[in-house]
Amino acid sequence: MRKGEIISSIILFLFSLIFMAQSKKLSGMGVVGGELTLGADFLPFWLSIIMLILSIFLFLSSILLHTEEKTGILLPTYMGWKKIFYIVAGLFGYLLILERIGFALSTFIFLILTMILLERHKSLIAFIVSVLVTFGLYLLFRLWLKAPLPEGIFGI
Amino acid sequence: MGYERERFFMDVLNNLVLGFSVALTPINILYCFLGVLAGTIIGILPGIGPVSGIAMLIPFSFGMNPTSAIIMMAGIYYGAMYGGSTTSILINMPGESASVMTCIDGYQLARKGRAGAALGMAAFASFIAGTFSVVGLMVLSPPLAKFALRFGPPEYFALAFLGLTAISSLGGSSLLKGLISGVFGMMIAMIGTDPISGASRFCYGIQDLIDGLSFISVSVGLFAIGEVMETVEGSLSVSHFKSKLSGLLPDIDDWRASKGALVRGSIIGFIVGVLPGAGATIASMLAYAVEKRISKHPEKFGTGIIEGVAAPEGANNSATGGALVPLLTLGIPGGAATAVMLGGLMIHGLRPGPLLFKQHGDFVWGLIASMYIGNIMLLILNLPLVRVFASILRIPRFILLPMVVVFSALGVYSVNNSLGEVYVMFIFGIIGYFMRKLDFPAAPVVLAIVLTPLMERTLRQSLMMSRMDLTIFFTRPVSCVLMTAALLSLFYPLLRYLWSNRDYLRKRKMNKNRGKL
Repeated sequence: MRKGEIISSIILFLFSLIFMAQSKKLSGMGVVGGELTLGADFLPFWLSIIMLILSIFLFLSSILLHTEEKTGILLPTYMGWKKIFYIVAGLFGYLLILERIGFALSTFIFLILTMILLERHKSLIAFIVSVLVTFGLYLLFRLWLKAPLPEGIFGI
Repeated sequence: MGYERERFFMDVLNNLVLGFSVALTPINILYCFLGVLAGTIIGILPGIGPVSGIAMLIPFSFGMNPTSAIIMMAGIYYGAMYGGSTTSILINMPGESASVMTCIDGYQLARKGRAGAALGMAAFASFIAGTFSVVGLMVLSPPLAKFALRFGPPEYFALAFLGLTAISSLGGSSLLKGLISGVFGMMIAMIGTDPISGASRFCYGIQDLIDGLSFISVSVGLFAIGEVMETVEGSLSVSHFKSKLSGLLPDIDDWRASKGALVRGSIIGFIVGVLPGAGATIASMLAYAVEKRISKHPEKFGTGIIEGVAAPEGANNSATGGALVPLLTLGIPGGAATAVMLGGLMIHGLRPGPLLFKQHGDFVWGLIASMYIGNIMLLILNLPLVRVFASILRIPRFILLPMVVVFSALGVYSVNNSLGEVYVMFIFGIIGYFMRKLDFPAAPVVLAIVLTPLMERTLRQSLMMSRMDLTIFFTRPVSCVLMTAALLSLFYPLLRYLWSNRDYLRKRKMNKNRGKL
């Protein structure tokens, strides 16, 4: 937990610095028609200041208050990381192929791949479920909601 | 005075008739049913809570009119409170966070072979408290909406500010992390077009960003995808329940033991629900704690007593009705679930608030009436059909989780037919996972995204009104009260820390002084 907090405080610190620098490029306070107006940079700038302070607090509290160290399990096991990777990489791959080969085929491929990777011994169930779910989603999105999902090589 | 009270109740009655005429149309009955059914299932499925459920189903509401959409979204919300108790009682695992307290005595009852009575009491408690909170919503909302019609920019800023600070300080385990989440959400909300000057901010020429990050992408990512990633890393095996389900009706002794708990749970839940920041989870914890404190036999709590189920189940359902009060009358959501509902309504081009309350009675009262109907549907769904729903628990995770991912991705895609928004969901899924792991609450992010445009506009308007004088927020009575409450919610944890450690601090001071001598 503590290590994660230190890392996240540093990331947040850098994030707010960049945010502040970028917000200064926006149009600032001005006078329009004799009236004072606050510019587009007003809130972003102050938010980045607040975040800067909060990230310093987080850094200090994670270093100084180590008596309150929580002994919760933070990091997943090796197996846990592997399964997370399957889902994340699978989703990323799904998004890459979704518009190229169409909704039906890519959905089927994503479902059957992730299901088999997560549970190797039940590939028949995975196959049947993938077919049924793809078909069900087709009915739901295309026929009921009439949502224009990306079409593929077979026109589905 | 008597005349006015009579007129008030006549108004409520007339409005209710109007509401039922809206809610009883076949299409709205259907959506109400779909909502409570989806809610029950979402409540039962561990790992998918009401917030992700509502966010995932928003794309499905696009073909509907806004009234049907809110009827369905609200149905998911209170339906999930019914379903959540089922897993708590049967397998000691809360289906959603508001059912955590139900595990304690509910599971013990199940181990004693009284799962049926516990499930039955949970359903009845939800029904009674749910109905109570609809009545509360009905009575409290009109005067509040009328009052809010007079609010100007400073009042709205103060309200939104209070909503955000309250959820940041109450929502998570640490105030600091809650605040970081809230400010992070506001920073994300800066992306897009400035509401006042029309300048584009942080877009870097990317077309998809001109309208800002899509609210649905962010909330589905943070909640649904984040939840999937967190669930998948653990064991994927499914826990089975062993106790048999018989005797779903609580007996007369159960009722006698629970009646006080039901009344107190309903009232506590409603009040906590109305207040910003807290929600169904805190309501159920508070109700359980109160029952335990005033009980004649507090030592029996945790061993499987029926009032330990009735109080939290009543409170979490009552809180959902309460949470709709600020959403409908002020347009300010108090928690993540109502924030997602607000986001959904805004996509429909509807902005809840006092004006909507006054001008679109059919919308508000249709929703209220539908909640009566929905609660009856839920009672029917959850009593005789609880065995059917419990079998949902048998769906293996390796099948369920990829389905949730596909469903989320396609839902987000179908909002604007944009793959870019699905990538946003993907990125926020990863952010959401690490936020969960590091104990940063996700609710303030979602609330901030919904509230920031309003906050920014009203803040800048207020400051322009007062010529950059911050005291404008404290010279107007309503905004002064709200701002004070917001500041208190910010500093309350610090004060409580100092108060609870006062002995320690005093001793340290004394030791220091001694050192000097």
